Amino acid sequence: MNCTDFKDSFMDRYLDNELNSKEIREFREHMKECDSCRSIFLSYKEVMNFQKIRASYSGSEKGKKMFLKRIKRRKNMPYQIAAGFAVLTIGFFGSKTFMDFNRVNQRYETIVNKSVEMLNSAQNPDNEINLSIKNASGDVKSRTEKIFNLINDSEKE
Amino acid sequence: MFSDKKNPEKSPQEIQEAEKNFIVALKKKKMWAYELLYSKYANMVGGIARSYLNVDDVEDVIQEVFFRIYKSIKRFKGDSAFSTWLYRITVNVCKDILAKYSKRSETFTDFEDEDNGGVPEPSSEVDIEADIRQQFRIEDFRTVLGELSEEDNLFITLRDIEGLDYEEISKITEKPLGTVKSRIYYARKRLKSLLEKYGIGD
Repeated sequence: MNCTDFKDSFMDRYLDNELNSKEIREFREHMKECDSCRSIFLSYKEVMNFQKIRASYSGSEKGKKMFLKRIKRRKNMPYQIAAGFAVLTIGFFGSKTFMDFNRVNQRYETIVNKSVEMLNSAQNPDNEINLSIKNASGDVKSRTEKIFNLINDSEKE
Repeated sequence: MFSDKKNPEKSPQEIQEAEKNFIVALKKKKMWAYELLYSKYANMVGGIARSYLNVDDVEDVIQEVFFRIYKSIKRFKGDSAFSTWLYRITVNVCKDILAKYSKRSETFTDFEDEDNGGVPEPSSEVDIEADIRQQFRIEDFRTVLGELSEEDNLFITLRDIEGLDYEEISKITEKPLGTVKSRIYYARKRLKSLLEKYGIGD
């Protein structure tokens, strides 16, 4: 084995556990004879060991807590957004419905008031409206009378 | 990872089943599963990050890796082992960090500021001269490792530090097996020539 074989092939295959027993013997023999190759191989192993020790890491409780806290926050985020939306939605539609209700209520009141007013005035023959109706058409007058009769009849029943 | 030292009777099927349940729990966002994730894998993720990034403080990397797992666990189909997937995410997070720092054209590693936290302290019985010699060697090691390119460092970390096989490295880096083999070959070659250059073996 020459140095190029050692450095370019045998050493890598040794690191990868790919040498058979015969090759391992050759590999060791070359290392005994060649200072330079032995030096490269040993320093390679030494650097790797150094890096293994340097890189070894132990997770901390603090780190774990930090991570779990972050997860919890993230996990609750959709609910918080949903809750926010719900509050907004209820606020928006709630106020709209309330306003609608008020408007309907007012309109209803107006209708009722107007109806009462009309009924009152209908009983007064000298009322402006009745006069105008009378003038406009006799037909309307008889129709109005019919309607009042019907209302009276139904009240009796 | 799911092998139970107290109960060596556990069959491979049982271990597989445990891992499956663990992943289901992760997908269901169970807190116990995330606690277990951190306990079991923080050391592995931290080790790779330290070796690949050449820095000691890697807590931020670990947080980011696990948070990415939380965000993307739904996409994990189980085509590869969970650990392979975790390795891949770790490597990607480290790559992002390196890219960010190289964009800012800053030196990521400042050896001057680093303490020797990762280096075992020599025992008091060792004589001072040997101590100093050892200290010089450590500085040399740091220099050599610092001179490796990011990619060489990645492949050496995965193969020679983590001891992963070529097949798994191919899955982690998403590169063909042949490419992985040649990258590792050249990374080692460059490391050997750096060791020769600095005369570390002498």
